[in-house]
Amino acid sequence: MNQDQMLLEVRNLKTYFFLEEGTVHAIDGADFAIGRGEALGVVGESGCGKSVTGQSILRIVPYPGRVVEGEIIFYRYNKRPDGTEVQEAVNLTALDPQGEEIRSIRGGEIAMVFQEPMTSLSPVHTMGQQIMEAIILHQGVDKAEARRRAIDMLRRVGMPQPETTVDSYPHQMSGGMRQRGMIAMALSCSPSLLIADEPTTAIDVTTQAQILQLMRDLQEDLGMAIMFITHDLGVIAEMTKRVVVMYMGRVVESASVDDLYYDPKHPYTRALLNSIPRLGQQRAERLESIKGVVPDPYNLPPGCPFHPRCNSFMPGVCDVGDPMNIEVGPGHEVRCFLYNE
Amino acid sequence: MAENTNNMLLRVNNLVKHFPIRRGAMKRVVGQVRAVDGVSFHIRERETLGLVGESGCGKTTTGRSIMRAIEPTSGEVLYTKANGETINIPDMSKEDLRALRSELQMIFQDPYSSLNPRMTLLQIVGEPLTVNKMAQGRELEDRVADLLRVVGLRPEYMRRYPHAFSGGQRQRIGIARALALNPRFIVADEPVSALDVSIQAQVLNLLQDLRAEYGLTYLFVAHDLSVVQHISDRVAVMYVGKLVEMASTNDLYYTPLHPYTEALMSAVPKPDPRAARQRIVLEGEVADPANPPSGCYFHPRCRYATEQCRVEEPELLEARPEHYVKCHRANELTLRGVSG
Ligand SMILES: Nc1ncnc2c1ncn2[C@@H]1O[C@H](COP(=O)(O)OP(=O)(O)OP(=O)(O)O)[C@@H](O)[C@H]1O
Ligand SMILES: Nc1ncnc2c1ncn2[C@@H]1O[C@H](COP(=O)(O)OP(=O)(O)OP(=O)(O)O)[C@@H](O)[C@H]1O
Ligand code: SF4
Ligand SMILES: [Mg+2]
Ligand SMILES: [Mg+2]
Repeated sequence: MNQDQMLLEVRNLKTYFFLEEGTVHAIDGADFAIGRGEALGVVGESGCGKSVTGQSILRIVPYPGRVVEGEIIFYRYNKRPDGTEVQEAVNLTALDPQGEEIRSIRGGEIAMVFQEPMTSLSPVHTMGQQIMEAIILHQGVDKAEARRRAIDMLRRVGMPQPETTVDSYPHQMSGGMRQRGMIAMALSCSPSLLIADEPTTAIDVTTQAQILQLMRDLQEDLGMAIMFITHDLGVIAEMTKRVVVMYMGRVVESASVDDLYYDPKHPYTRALLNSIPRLGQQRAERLESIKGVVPDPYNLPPGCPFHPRCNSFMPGVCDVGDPMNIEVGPGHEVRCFLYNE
Repeated sequence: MAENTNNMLLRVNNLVKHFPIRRGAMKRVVGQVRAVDGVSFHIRERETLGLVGESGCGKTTTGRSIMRAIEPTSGEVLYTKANGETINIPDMSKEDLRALRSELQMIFQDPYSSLNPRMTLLQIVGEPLTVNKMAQGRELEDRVADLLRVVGLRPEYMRRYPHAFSGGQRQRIGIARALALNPRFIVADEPVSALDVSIQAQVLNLLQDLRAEYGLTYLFVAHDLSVVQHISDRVAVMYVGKLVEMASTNDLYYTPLHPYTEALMSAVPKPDPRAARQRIVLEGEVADPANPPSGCYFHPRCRYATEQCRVEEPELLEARPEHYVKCHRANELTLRGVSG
């Protein structure tokens, strides 16, 4: 990626949770980058560290978790009076998580749609109050204008009767309405990076299509970049051009969407693609699932973390060393011994 | 509906749930959200009925009303117990209801709010077993470990609290808990929405195995239409508090009779970046269950609507054998189902 078009760069990120029974290596050396206005897909097994990656970027990893190593560089583009741009790099991992600077970035320049809306919505405030608070904080408009923008955003995410739903409490809403409320909140401040963590799991496909279209519009009109975390490989195919695949806290493959679906390299990616239930597929067939269980997080296997479950496992190689990231084609990288010579 | 009542496990008749809308300082009731507005269906033993529909159309409210997780406004929910006795769930006392919990379980859509944050995994999954005095001590731990394993969680996690899990891990905690008592009937509300396709496959295979081995019956609510197709014998489609179509899975997917179902089927994102799309975009305002449109509720967004649709509400009729549809034009339209 062109350095002058970079928006976010994650280098060797490690985020651990220090629990009594052991240390959870939730992110264990993740590397990836997102360009300005780019939509990057993030997929991977449940528990592999996708949400914690989002939390690490925003510096909201909950106690007893902590970023222990690595850098997250966020690039800002400031306009000079003559119209040219200057790039400014901020290392998010170096910021005080409670400090002024990260708070101005969080919810403003970088917004996140959380996987479980109820973890981040206040039960005692209406949806409208919560969206307006974000708008007032980051956009400096008055209350009436903030309310107008909140209603407008709710309408754009397909909320029924936005003039009345704006005054509803989260518990009065369906799962998908809460999710749309969160999306409206995140989009209301025109972020330069949207971290969308499973944003449409509670939403039917027709409403989803409308929301995805809205995100694409904002991506084009405002140059918003999106880090799109989802298990829905159909949504990935539709929304993104590039995908990273995570396994146990690392990026094991990164590729264009087309390469990933038609020429997957990593054994985990291949197995994952085999498990998709396809529409129109006859019933009663058993679905494929990846054999074996996720490794014990406190006792990580030596070598490649996928080796105990891998179809291509090479004894004496995969369980001994750590595979390197190898470029197997233009923009296609994979971390697997099959491709190390 | 005249049904063959053999092997009926659940018959829902005219189920209604309205939520009052309160406004102002006096909290006066200014209207009603008609979340579920006269829903009827049945499920036979060992059958899986899929329930799909627009976000906010009343699926969760239907499931919760059946289970009495909330009190329905009116309607019958006739359930035939393991001992052959048929009871109306809305008439049951709290005490009888508690005794029935070993047969009826619900997997909740929002795992985060449904898991007690102060209980460990062992306590959460083990609670139904201890409450019903079915296991304790070492035996309880073994049973909980088994339950965690079948949903793909490691038993080593047993002493952790719910907040220390990922979204998909929490969802599986809810599934393990629902399975603890070997129930006969499960309302599964978006049970696999947070799971990657491999673990999703594992959980769906598990639900199917349990059905084959123990004759479990499911009401399965989900937005992922390929998952619903895979698991369901029959599928019901809801729109603004009412059923608009219900049929065997194949009939519903390949020869849908309701325009809303057609739009839904056309909008499924294909897991293929080279796939061509012919999505039907639904124009117009999303219907409001507090103030539904006249005639057919779908008419403002329906591309086949006529004058009759604007003024007259269609009935849910059996247009073909076991294929029910609520549309004036069901017999004249030829709609597109899924291809493949
Ligand atoms: N607050 C916490 N305390 C301890 N461990 C945690 C905490 N939050 C997450 N973890 C652990 O960190 C790992 C990564 O979690 P994360 O939520 O990032 O997974 P994910 O990839 O988002 O999964 P899913 O697809 O299921 O949402 C998991 O093993 C999880 O159990
Ligand atoms: N406690 C409540 N008070 C007021 N209104 C409610 C309450 N619970 C649900 N509703 C309303 O009832 C309607 C149906 O909600 P429900 O949760 O059943 O939808 P759903 O079909 O499950 O949607 P989703 O797919 O988004 O989960 C919605 O309009 C919602 O706002
Ligand atoms: S490195 Fe070896 S064990 Fe790991 S995925 Fe590749 S082949 Fe499998
Ligand atoms: Mg997550
Ligand atoms: Mg719901």
